[in-house]
Amino acid sequence: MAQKRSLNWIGYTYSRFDRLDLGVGLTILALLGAILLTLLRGDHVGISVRRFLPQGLASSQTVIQIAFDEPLDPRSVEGKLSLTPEAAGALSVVGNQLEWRPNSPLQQGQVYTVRLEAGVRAQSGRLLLEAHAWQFRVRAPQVVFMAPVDQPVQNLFLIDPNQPDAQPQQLTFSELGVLSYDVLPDGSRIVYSELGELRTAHLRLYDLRTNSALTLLECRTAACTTPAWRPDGNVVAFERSELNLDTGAGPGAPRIWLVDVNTGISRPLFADNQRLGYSPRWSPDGAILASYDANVGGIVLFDFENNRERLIRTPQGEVGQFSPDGRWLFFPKIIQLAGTTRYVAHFVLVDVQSELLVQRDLIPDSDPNNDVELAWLPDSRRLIATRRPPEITTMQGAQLHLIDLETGAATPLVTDSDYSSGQVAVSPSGEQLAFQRFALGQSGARPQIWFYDLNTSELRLLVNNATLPRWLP
Amino acid sequence: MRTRRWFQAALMLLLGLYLLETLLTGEIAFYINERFNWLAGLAGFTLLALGTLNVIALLSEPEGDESTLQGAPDLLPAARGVAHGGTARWYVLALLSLPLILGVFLPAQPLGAAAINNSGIAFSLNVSGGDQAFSIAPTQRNVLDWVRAFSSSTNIDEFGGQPADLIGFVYRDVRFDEAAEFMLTRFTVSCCVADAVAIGVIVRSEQAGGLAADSWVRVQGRFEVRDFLGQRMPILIAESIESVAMPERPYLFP
Amino acid sequence: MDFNTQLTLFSTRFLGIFIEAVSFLLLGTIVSGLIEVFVRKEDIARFMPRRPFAAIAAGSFLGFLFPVCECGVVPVTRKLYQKGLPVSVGVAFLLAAPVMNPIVFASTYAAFGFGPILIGRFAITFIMAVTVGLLFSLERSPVKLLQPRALMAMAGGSGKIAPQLDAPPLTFGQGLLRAARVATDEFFDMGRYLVMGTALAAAMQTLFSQEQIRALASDPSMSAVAMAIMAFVLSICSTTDAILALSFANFGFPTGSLLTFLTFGPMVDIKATLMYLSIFKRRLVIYLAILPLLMSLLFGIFINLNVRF
Repeated sequence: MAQKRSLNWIGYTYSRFDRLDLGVGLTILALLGAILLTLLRGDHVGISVRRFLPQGLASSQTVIQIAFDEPLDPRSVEGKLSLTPEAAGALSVVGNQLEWRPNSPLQQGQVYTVRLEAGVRAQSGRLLLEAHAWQFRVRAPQVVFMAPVDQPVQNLFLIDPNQPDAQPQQLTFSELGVLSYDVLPDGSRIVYSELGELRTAHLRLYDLRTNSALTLLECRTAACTTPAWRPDGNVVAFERSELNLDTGAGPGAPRIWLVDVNTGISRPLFADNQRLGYSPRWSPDGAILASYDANVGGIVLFDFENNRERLIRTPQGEVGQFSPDGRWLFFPKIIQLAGTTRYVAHFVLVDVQSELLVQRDLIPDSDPNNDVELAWLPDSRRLIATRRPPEITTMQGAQLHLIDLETGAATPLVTDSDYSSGQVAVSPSGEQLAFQRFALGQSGARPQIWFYDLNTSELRLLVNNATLPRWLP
Repeated sequence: MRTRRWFQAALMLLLGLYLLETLLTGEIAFYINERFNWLAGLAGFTLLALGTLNVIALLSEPEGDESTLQGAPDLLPAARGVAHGGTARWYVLALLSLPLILGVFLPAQPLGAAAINNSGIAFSLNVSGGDQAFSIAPTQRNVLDWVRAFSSSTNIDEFGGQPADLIGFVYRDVRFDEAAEFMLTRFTVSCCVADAVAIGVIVRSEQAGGLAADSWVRVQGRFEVRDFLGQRMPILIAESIESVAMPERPYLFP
Repeated sequence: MDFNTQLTLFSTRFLGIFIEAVSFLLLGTIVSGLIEVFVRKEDIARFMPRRPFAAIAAGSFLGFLFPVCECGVVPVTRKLYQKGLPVSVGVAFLLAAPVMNPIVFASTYAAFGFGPILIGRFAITFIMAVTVGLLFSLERSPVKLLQPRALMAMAGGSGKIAPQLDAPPLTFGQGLLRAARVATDEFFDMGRYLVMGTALAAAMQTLFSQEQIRALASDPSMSAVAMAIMAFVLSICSTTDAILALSFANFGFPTGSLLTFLTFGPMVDIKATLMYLSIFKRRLVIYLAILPLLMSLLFGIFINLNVRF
């Protein structure tokens, strides 16, 4: 009762605000204070790293990616990412992902430590509170090839050319076979054309970072072949031939198509479906796509920056390669040697940066050498020519020569008349070659892939019964 | 006073009838998760019973005596004094007729594409039961099963090449390439439409441009893992798209 | 969006919430009817712990005895008050029961598994309900807290039916008719708040875009506020809100903010809060909304800023 009375007393004194109101009021103030205090104490959790690449082994051109749980503020990442040993690169931010691209290839065999300092800020203002660091090792460039040649079904394999006793590693396990492929310059992915049912061919991607393959484009009524990466890795150009399965008219002529790697949406290069084309080749900056159009009898250079087309007339139907600096594109011409009945192939260089597409010959028309193939070295000043010398008949083997672009002077590299060489692939550093060799006059011989070092002149068999070598940076 | 009580009784009867009617016609599926159907049925019968009892009471009461039930002690003296005799005021009656008016006079319609604009759409739903989804054959899975499977999978690439056969309505917003893609969408309702969350799978097809938003379609095709707005996700590459009628139960229940 | 589309959307949402809620409300009415018949005032007095804290703590666990969600809890609480339950204990029950019951335990477990969300939801709800209950125990006179309607029933009587010997005993039919009359009054009294709350919730859902609220997901403090607003506006039943919270998790809402949603929502949402007006005086209803709001925000923000999962 005493309590009751005191309660009433309080109720009387605070007639408008009783004990409950007072209690609630104080509690509200305390709660507001506590919330304020919590806010003032600040963030002790911050943003966190969801994914990061590369892990384990990586290519020397690898892109470093770090994904967060929130979109980042691009200004906050500057100077926050470092590599040990130091390497220069370009940092960019897309959404919640941070990307770093090396300016020059990373050092092979080197273990790099990536460190992202605390303080990277999300757009919401939250910070990365603890530095994030991890290591990866840069592998030496590898050689990709197709094998076995003597079987109807070929698959993609990988081998380390710098380890003399290395065993090839099988990448794809296609049931009907791989037809053609292309390696992305950063060494992260391979696009390849895989045979499907009813002679269809689909485009698939092999991701070397995750060692998994997935379909890029399913061509149910067509054969999609000869994929070529745009060097930034976002678009693949390819040849698409309608199979006309419903009409039974047989496969049609190829047309050039493009597929967006990120969305999988494909479209023909030319809106006019009568435009045929094959052998797509990208310029190094990805601005120009060259392909051969048999209807107009020449190489069409399509410029994506202004949707302009330029034509290089050539009846040979072959498109060469752009030089790494983007200035030159070569293609073959057939000429009759003056005063003889011999025909030889020479290469013509087109200056694609000149308005009038100025052409020049690699070697003078009087040169009796027969150049079968050509491949650029990374400096864009020298090329490797697969050449048949004049003194032997065309039935004998082609040999490798180093050609100087300015002078046309040739240095023999690998010359062995028992073998015919071709399909030269130059390593990213330009110091090593992988190429196909075929032993002449031996029954049961298979194409082989050989390795040649330009510095040491080391020549070594990599793998037997294989074809189409390409370097994987 | 008696008029209002009659009105009260009639309102309860009608509300009860309305609830039972939506149950019988299946319209209830537009409003709540089916696992609460029994509850709505119970509510309908309760309202009918209460309404009927009120009618009996009104009939058995002598005219003019509105304050007490015959023979019963007056148990709500204060309530009558304070809360207007236990009989609801007119505005209360009007308020409670609102559900009846909306339910009877407006055409019943489930949520559609328009509703997504203010409730948003989810590409992945971190719902429970993800593992269950894997035990269903791919072509038997509905949109919810797929979205569940995507969310609980640790390797999104495993869905590449899997066949699917799905029904949903067409939804697009600015993120979609109108001619080539749309979202095959369903609403999931865990309780009632208040918590409806739109979920969907992205479909790519050359026919996409010809499909009107909100139309119901059946899509058969295969999933491929692709980028959408910078995120790798399984995307349904359509092999065939056909128009279908809206399913009887337009929502999916997690 | 034109008016017709908006009206149809509003109508669909309104009827969805209404059918769901009115079902739970009537279920609560049936439970309160059962209490009316089977629970006597003496039972409550006998089983209630003497010490206020123990009594309030017990009150917050009463939900395991009367499993009702936030629509059903109102008539049950009202009935328990009529049976003499102390106001503070009833408040703890009112706030805790929509979460602290086996159905919600099961649905939260199904959605999030055994982890920080499940433990956090129950622990925080308990702390919040007991705190508010203790505060309300500062005022012991029900007259100052409860609406006259709820109060008069207490004083006058339905609890006294059985022992009240001076009144002539009712026949079964008369009893039934009287019960129907009481239930009808209860239905209309709470139903008006239910309809107003439902209409408000449906209108807000139709007029405002959730995208804007979701945009706040990544901010540790604003996301908790956003979740509290969502809980209030959505007004969905506590038995299923865990499943919805999962979809918010997909929009990037952090754990602390999800806990704000899962603890504040069942205690305070538009329709439930309006229905509280049928029991409590207006001032107290405001307290009953503000106290849980601030507490759930405090917990949510604190967890967001200080706990890494």
